Amino acid sequence: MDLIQVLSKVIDISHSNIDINARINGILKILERNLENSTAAIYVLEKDRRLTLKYSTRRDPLILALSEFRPLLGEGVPGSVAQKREAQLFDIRSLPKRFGFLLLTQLDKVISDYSQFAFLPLSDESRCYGVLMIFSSRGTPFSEGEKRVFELVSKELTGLLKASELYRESGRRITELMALSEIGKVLISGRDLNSILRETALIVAKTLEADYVRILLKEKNGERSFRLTTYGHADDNVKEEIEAIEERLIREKGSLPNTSFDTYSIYAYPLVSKNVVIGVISVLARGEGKDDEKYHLLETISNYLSNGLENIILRAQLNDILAELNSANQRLIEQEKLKSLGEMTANIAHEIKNPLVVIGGFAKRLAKKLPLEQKERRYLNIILNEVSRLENILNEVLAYAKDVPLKRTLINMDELLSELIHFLKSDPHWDKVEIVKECEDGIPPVSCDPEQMKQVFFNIFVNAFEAMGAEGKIVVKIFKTEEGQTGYLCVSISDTGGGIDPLIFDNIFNPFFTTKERGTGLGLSISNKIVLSHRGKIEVENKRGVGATFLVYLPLNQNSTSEAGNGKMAQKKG
Amino acid sequence: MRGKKNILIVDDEENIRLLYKEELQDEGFEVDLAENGYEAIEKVRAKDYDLVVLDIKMPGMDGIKTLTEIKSIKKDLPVILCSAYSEYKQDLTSWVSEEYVVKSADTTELKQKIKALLKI
Repeated sequence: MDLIQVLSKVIDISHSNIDINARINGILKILERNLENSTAAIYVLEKDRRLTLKYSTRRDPLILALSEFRPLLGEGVPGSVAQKREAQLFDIRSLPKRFGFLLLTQLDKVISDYSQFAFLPLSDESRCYGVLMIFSSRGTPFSEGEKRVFELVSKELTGLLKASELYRESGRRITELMALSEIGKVLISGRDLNSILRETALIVAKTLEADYVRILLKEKNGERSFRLTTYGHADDNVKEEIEAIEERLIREKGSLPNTSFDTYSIYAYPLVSKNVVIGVISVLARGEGKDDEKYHLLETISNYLSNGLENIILRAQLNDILAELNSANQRLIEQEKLKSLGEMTANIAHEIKNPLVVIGGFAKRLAKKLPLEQKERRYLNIILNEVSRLENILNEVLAYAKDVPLKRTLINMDELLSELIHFLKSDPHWDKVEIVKECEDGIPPVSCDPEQMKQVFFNIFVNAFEAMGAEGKIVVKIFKTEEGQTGYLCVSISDTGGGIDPLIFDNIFNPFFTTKERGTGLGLSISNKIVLSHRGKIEVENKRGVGATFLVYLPLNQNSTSEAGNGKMAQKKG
Repeated sequence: MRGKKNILIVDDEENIRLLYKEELQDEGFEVDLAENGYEAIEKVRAKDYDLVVLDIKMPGMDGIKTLTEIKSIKKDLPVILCSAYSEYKQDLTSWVSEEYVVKSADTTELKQKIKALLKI
């Protein structure tokens, strides 16, 4: 072979602009073309300290047999060349049996195709990148010149392998940085947690070429509720497998299981914030066996995501609090509006009251003094009735608009209700209404303003009476209950009036809302206001077609002195 | 026995004064009128009334101030406060007035309370 020509061609290719793998294969071809009846291939040393046959130009039986085997560093002739970084040359007689791979019996048949064997380390001072193998079927051994060419070609190939590794590494790094930068953009996008997790799952799927990505996130520290975000599809048995991994990762912080199926692998990594597992990110990707690069990529993404999510979660919590604050504020504004509306109404009512008294007063005098014909007397009666109706409305409006201080005493609620029920039943209109009262044993006296509480119950009873069309059953129950640290006395009043129309349900506590022809719409809002000023609450349970139950809660063991409205609204249950 | 009982009605609204005057005269009372707190105090100083009907909401000196002033002049003169505000009912027990009525076209309550205070 023309050694100078070979070398110049090798250097030309080695320094060309074409793809690195093509350059390496090109150099192997030049060697094969210039050495008669020969073949060349390269074993590449990988991170797991095994050699993989990555470069060859021919489908040669010996090369195919070798490519099925990945020897360890030091194993067999190629392994020892890579380890010692020293070239070894043999002819068929001096060649160790089966290249030293004693279990690889299939080599026996194909080795005999060749008679000269050269193994050259592709290495520099720091490390070995692989082994160049040149096999030839000619009888004569390789000349000194050829050996010198092999040496120089090896140096070129070493440089190319080094560059290839660098490219791969930077390619990996670029993928990683791109993924992180995309995730970073999503994290700072200010969107809500759900869409952030969805976007992130998508990016992870793209980066890791995954079929299925799951992000499991604890809702709040210490609580066993989770938020699950998925992307892509997976079979149920695979999902079960992932769930088991998630559970293990959450239980045993930091352990890193990986499960490989025939054609799929599961990669999972915990999301850790402040030393606590806050979730798990799991990926299902094609390909048998564990791919270190994918695993490393997932690890990097998980760490990055953990930090970012911590902030997002904090922000989400902050947003929740802000929203709550906002709605509280909104409620306050509404109340202020109602209050100023109430004050205005009170002023108007007050101004109307005097002229009304004058009209009514003199109409009465007219009725008394003048000998009127029947017809005119009827007109006067109409005026008087309307005046007294207007007066009632004004009294209610004025009562609603003004804060009445509570005159608290300790009250036996059972007795108070008995009195009220007795009062109601003394009216013959209530004859067809059955009122049943049940009182739990051991109800302590409750601190409240008895007159105002009577008004509360009176309004509820009257509404029940009207909802039932003056005929039906009212069940009153008095019992104790607890909410949080506070004990409450509860009076429930259930009627058989068919329940409240859902369309108006939200309005029943609003002032001036009424379904009655002659109502002011203040009854329930006054009741609610009174109960709120007692620091209690009214709840409504509505059974459509059956009836409504009003539950009035009054706190027990109350020794508070300030009784201003505490801003809580009445609660309604559908 | 002394003759007719003297009642002073204090209200800034002319028609209310007229209504109350006629209603009370029908009941056989002697009625004087005052249209504000200052005038009421002058009249209380000048004449021995048996009872005062006093409106709360008046411009200038309101009913509560007038009441305090009247009581400082004549401690035992019974006063009935009256107003459109029904809710004053509750806290007025602590006031020094003897009674309280909510203004109404129906003067029955007012008349009843006057008679009760005058023991008629």
